[in-house]
Amino acid sequence: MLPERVRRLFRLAGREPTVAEEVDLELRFHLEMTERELVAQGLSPEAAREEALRRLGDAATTRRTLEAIDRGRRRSRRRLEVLADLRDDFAYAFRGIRRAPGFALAVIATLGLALGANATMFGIVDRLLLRPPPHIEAPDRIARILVARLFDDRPGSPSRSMSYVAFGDLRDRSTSFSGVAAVSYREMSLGSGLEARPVMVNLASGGYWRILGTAPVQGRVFGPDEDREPAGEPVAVLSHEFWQRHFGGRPDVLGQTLVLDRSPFTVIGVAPRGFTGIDITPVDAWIPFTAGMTARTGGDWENQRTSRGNQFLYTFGRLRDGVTREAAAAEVGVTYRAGHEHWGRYEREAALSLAPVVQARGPNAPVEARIAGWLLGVAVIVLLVACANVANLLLARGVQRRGEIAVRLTLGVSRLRLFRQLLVETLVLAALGGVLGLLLVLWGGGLIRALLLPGIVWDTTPVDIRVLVATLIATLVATVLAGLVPMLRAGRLDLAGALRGGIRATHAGGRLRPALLLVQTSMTTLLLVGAGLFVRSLARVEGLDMGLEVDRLLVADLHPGLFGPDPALAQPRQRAFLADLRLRHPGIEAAGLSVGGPFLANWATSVRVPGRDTLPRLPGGGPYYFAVTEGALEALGARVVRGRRFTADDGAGTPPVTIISERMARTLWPGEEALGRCFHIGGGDRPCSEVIGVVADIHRQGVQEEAFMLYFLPIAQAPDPLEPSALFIRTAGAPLELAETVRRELLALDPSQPFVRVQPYADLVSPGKRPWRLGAAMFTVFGVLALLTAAVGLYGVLAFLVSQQSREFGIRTALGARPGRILAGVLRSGLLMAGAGVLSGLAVALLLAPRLGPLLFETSPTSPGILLGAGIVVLAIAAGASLIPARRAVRVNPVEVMRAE
Amino acid sequence: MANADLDLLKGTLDVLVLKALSWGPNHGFGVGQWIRDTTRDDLRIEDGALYTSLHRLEARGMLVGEWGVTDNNRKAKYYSLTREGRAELARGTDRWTTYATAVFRVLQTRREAIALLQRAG
Repeated sequence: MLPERVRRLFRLAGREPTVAEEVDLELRFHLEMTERELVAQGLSPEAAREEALRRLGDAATTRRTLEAIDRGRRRSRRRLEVLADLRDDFAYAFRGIRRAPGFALAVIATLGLALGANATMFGIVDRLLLRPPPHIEAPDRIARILVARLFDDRPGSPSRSMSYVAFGDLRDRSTSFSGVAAVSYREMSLGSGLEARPVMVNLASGGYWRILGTAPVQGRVFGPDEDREPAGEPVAVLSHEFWQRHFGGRPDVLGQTLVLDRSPFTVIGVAPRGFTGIDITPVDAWIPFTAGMTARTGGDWENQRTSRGNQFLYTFGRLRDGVTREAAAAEVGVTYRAGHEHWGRYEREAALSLAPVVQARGPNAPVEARIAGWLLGVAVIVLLVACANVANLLLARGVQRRGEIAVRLTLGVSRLRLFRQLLVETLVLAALGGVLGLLLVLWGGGLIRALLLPGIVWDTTPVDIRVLVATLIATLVATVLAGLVPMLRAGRLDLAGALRGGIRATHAGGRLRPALLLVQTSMTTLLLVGAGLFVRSLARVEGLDMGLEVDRLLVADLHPGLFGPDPALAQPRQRAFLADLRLRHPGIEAAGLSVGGPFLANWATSVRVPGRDTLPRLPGGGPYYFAVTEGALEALGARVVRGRRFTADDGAGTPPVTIISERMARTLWPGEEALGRCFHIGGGDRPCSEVIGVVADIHRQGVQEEAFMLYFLPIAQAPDPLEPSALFIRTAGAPLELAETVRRELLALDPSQPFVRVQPYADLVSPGKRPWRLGAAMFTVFGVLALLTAAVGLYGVLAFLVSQQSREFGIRTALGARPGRILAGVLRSGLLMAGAGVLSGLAVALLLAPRLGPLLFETSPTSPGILLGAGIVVLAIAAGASLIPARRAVRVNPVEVMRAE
Repeated sequence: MANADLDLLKGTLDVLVLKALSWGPNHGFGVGQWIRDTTRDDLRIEDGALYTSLHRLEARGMLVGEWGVTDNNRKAKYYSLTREGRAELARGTDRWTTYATAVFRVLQTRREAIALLQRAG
């Protein structure tokens, strides 16, 4: 019998006797020995037994005491053993890493990149979709109130905006909400002249702070008393970020004065760090709604205050306990429609709905948020591909280790222990991968956020506690996914075969490895299809003809009254300013003023076409107009298809003229020449404006929009006196070089102006392209990541298979097989595996197509070119990955292989 | 000392067991036998108490118990001292010697003191 210590040393199998059995055995031995001794002293066997028992004392109690002591001892021994085993397992894992650093590095890098991708995307999706904006009390009871107005007898998409009057109705009458608040985003000018800076201000109604339940970190917030009509108290609450940036976080900020659009506001408080209201875009300051409107629009506020036509307030409310969203939506709907009973059907029959405080979960989710959701899915796929790869690598190594594992199994190491050892090993590798991933995110995550999703306030660092926990979970899942197959495989090891050794015996994972490879190649194909679709969308967006030349174009926002209070007298000044500007700065090729403009604001007035009772309606609406001076169309780069542009001669005293878009020409006079025709602009008996030119269709506000009619007219001939709101300048060189010059020229007109924004026109257009840029960039990065991973995986599998078959190749070569045939054979098996993956990946892509379609731009999600292209890329990479092992197979030296056996 | 105070014995028994095993590994019966032989049966120890002491010392890591085979081929649990057990034996011996010397001195002193008092009286 081997001592226990020896048995434990070798971890020999065999049941350990129970504590009771041991105690029993020990006491029995004792009694027998005592009896024997007593008999030797002359007692009868019966007397000896009695005496032995007597000497033992209370046998039952003794037995119980001994068993209790032993049980305690065994428990603590087991605890120590488990700990020691774990320590051994970890030591074993780290020894393994040191012994095969290349293998470990491959696994850690693969998992690290995949986990890093997941952590990045999780952080983004968490902010956009999962986490409610911070510092809002019970955010699930906050509801955004949306209005779906009727368009062409159909309910339109829900809009956030409603008028001040409609908001007032809901605020005062709603019983479903404990309060309804409204907010309006305005860029205001802080200070004036050259020092003026733009700040993003929230004009917030009196109930705003109470309803959100947000407490300031400094001072106080404002309430209904300060948001009184008509003009509220000029007070301001600063955002924490603005307080830090502009006031350097000074504690004596309370009581300071901010001059916003020429009106002074007193700072009364500072909002908590990261608070941006119900949206996640930057806010610099909050001011009472009525005070802000008075400062901004002066006398015009009187009109807006009582108009249901000016719809620019975002409303939200806090639901009372026990009130469902449906009931609340129905209730506010009745109120809203009652307020618009004298309006057209589109308002009178509007439907109100409630959306969650997290905008991306509501009906008008930004495209970016939806794409980010997809990208998180993509990151998960990358992780799956990585796990399949790691599983394959572990399998390959498991095969190399078969001898070692078999020896240990024979020596009595339990399979459970072996299992745990493999698990710990995988866990250590995955954990190192997770750490690498988090480091990558820590270094690069902020950059990715800033590049791809600017305009969002990131209230946490790229690695926050939620990202950390998510990564931890992902790491554990990856451990199980990557480790499970190799572990099961090790558990089913055929001992005899493995011990016999020899290369032939190693067919472990014969079917599993190609299966894993199938997962990899199909997922990679899927990602490449996604990348292709988004890249093509982006190319289409970038190449989109918007009827304008966006490059080398500057746009300046003009403040009201810049050319004097009287619009009629202002026109000579405007002409002089433009002429001066061009004279002084030869870098300016063309310059013109405009009322509104593409990507700025649209104007519309009634239009009557002689010979027509009504105007045809287009889905995009209109006709809209931009009133411009001479030079504006040149500056914008509008292409005149027929006719001419406006000249300096088209003024107040000359016959009215207009330039129309191609679509408008086609719509009003289909199949006929539009030049020379005329239509009446504005009401009354104004003369008919003659069409003197037709320009290519111009986008008015976005990259994606529906067809509409558009025309231009000279400012001097506008139906009402209008002030120009924008200055367009076409530059010879880079537009930014002239931006500061133009700003100074404009400030020279009135040095006390608020902030004058002069920016490249591309800055107005490019946010509209962001979703596709985000999709194209991330899909491509993830796709390439998956492609590389899959290529390494394919190479690994084939290299392994070739090494398995090298004996066979050797024999065949010895028997005179041509190298070409062996090469072709290996290539074929590689391409077959990849081909199966490509096909299943394409099938999944087709399944997902209907859901991805709406996120693309003028690109069919089933575009054959892209599907085919993705397949070809994967196959080409597969062929490349097969080539190296294939050539090795050809070079097999038959003599050496035979000798190795 | 057949009716020796059990409390006194308890601590003492551990030291005796450790001492018994300091000669080499032995089973419980052997330990009891050695103590009986050495004390010439002056210390009558209940076998139950002896085994409790053995198991307790094993749980405390002073002894290691292993199953082995006796000379006449019987399975028995053999105990041997660990390094800690050896240290504990040294400490126990010191403690017991100090204690016994003190008690002995008191008992000696008392007789002389009474004699002195009687002489003075």
